[in-house]
Amino acid sequence: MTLADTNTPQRTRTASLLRLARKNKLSAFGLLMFTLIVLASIFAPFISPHDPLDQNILDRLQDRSAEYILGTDTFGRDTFTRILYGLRVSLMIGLTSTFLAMVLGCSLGIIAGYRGGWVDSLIMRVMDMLLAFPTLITGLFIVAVLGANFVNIVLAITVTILPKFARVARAPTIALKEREFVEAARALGYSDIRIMAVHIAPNILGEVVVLASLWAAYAIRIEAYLSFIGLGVAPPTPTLGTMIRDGFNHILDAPFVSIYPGFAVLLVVLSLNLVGDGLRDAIDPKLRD
Amino acid sequence: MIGFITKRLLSTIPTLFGVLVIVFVMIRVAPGDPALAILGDNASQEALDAFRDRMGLNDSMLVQFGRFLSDLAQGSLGTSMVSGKPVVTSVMEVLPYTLELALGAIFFGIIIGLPLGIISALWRNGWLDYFLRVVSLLGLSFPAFLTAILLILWLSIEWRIFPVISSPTGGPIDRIYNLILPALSLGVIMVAYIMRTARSAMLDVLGEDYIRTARAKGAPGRRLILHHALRNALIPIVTVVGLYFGLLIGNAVLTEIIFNRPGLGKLIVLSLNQRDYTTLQGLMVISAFLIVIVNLLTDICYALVDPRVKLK
Amino acid sequence: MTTPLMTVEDLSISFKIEDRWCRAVNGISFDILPNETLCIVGESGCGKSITAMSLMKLLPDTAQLGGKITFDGQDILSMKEKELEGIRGSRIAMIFQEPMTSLNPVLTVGEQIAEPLVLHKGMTWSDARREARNLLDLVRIPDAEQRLGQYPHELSGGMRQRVMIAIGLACRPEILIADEPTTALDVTIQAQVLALLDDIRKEQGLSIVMITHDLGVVANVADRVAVMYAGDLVETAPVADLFTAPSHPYTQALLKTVPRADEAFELLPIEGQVPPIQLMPEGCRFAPRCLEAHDACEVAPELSPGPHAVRCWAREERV
Repeated sequence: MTLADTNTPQRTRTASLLRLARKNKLSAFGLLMFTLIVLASIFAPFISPHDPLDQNILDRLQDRSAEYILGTDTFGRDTFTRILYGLRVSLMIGLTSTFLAMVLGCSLGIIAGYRGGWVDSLIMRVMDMLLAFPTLITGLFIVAVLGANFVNIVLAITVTILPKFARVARAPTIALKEREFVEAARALGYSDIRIMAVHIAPNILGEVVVLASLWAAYAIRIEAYLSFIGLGVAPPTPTLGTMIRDGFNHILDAPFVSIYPGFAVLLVVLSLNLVGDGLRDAIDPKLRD
Repeated sequence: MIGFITKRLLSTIPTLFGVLVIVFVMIRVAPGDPALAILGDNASQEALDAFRDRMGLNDSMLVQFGRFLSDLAQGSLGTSMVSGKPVVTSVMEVLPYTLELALGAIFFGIIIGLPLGIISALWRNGWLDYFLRVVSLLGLSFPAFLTAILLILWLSIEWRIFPVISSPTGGPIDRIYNLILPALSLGVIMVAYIMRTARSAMLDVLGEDYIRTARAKGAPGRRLILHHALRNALIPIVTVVGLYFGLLIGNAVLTEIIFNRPGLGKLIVLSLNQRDYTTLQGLMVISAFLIVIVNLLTDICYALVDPRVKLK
Repeated sequence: MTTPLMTVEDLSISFKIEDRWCRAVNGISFDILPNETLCIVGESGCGKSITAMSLMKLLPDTAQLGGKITFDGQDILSMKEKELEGIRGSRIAMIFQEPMTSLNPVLTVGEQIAEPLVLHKGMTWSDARREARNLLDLVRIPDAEQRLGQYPHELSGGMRQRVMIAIGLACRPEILIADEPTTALDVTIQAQVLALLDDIRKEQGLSIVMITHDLGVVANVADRVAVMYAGDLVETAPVADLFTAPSHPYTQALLKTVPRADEAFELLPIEGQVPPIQLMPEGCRFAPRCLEAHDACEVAPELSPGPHAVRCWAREERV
């Protein structure tokens, strides 16, 4: 086997992932849904005639109408517009933290699996500690202590899901490092870092990307939870969690104020779950939970 | 059995110790002065000094950590910075409410999720299976607050079956009645997870040789599924319930806020708002310990369900 | 001539592969006589196991069955699931190849043996458990009382297969179908299990249908042999005839793969493989691998009549 061959398993796998996405109707539907949501949030100013911060006290707590397609909140701000802007925050925080967790978690997992020994024990022990808390509590604690701002929220969510990536990356690394192409690379004197980056990482990418879509859904939900509790990005920036929280005070007279942003969270999370779930079943039925 | 439990608890000590260090250090290096945060900007210098002295904030970090550990060894997590109440007491006061909520959610998860998962597996790839799979995916995508809000709207406001605010007081009947709606709301995600696990576990098990043996014995369909297959399918289901217990506790925080129920969630939010770092620290330690206990219980359940597992 | 216990007529089994029905078993007929051991032999992939399973209609719904299997005047293949449940494990029992996975890991040995007795004989669990103890004695498992409370993982492979046999025998069936019962076992254990089965057959007067690919097993226990190739029954004969005068080229080739003490000739593997069922050749299915194949083989031959029946044009010419 020549070294040029070592990347082929990965390339075919990525290609087959795309093929699977096309074949699996639910995954394809999820992908479409997610793309539409992302586009809508990016082009929010062009889609909605309102400003997310414009208050029209006279129009407060209105239900759906031609003017306010999803109604207005306590201050008469347009809910639809605020949802679009809130989605921006959700997506930015959710996707950034998932990406960071993926890069850091996989690096740690690969290093742990490749090196073994005390490095492995140390890394995985720390990951165990992070997993020792009930989910959400870790993030909540970090944001509470460090203060609620974009960077800290991203940090908190990253730390929450990072150990999952580390675990997922570690197991196949242990298997891969015994494979002949890795041994060949080692025999040729390539550095460990190069072997991990060029020969191992691409081969576990398929699984990792699929799981990343599921955990991005999770990250977005944590962001919404944090802001619901009051640990979100500071106002006046609209976030979905805050909108739900505020709307909840009017559950009796104007339930729609909290329900619509709630459904927005549901749709994003669902779209990512649809993408990841179908693909996961397709690449490895054993990963079903 | 007792040997196993002791051994397992001892083996988690390094992890728990690490947890303690992380929690302790994070609170100490956090920006902001707790004294200032609690007493307010207008507090006099004397009051601030007195507060720091009382809380031991003037000692070095190592001394503080030593004190923290020695307190812990005596079963104490210090006293609240705000109310002066022992942290263990205030956590233990509300912990039962959160636990009953989580157990209620697991209960709903099992009684709804398990049969649906089995049905899904038996009608594999039929329209019902397809429908149930979409429903389960929807169920696990539902944010905890949305389920709570929708249930309140339908069952409390529209139909007036359950109270909007769940106050877990009164006799056992009242208490259970008050628990139903929040537990159902928290249980939606559990229903979804158990459904999916039950489906795939049943599919795996139904393809096993021993199911063929049972058919060859003339065991009727119902017995095949409920006796031969289900017992084996329970093994992964136990894992899932144990695995997602942490998630349940996290989601319980939100459910408690919405239903205005006492519990860990409300205590967390209260200590957050009051910058009560000692209570927060104690909450973290106790919740990590809770997860350790749940993992232990999961292992014991394994041994009950699967005779091949020996508690050693 | 004795009346057969079971008659299989023109049995065919098809599976849907990529939207096409493929015949895995291609219209085979044979009888099962009282108190005999009938061995069905052939390489793996010849349709032996699914034939065995179809005898009590155990195949999954994805299989399409054709023909007729008459047992006690009734056609098994047209029976409803409820009626089948009454026969399975009570009048026809089956034991499987993999003793490791064929027992339910979460149920005790005692419960698994007692179950058919409770299901079919209406026994109480405690009576059935007592009977299970006798069955363990019958299959020569020592410390029966203690074994009853154990789980399958606590037993060795040979023990588990004995437990399987005990389950099969629980209701004193008329026919015991044994699908490669010794393949997964050590050679010494194999011999013990075969001897046990043979003894029990003689004691209890039941019929055994033994599926195997091992001609050694056939020589040991068979009264009659049916040779299958690629879903066809190519030769049936009393065991002595088959070994002394194999008539089908496949049987001949098969015999050459077995070392024999009385003859010193080299072992010859059969060239090629059993074709996968979606790629079955037209005409005689063995022709592509047959050294004697000729033009006539493009049309499938019929099974000749008589106790030593062969399905080959070459044989027709010889006769």
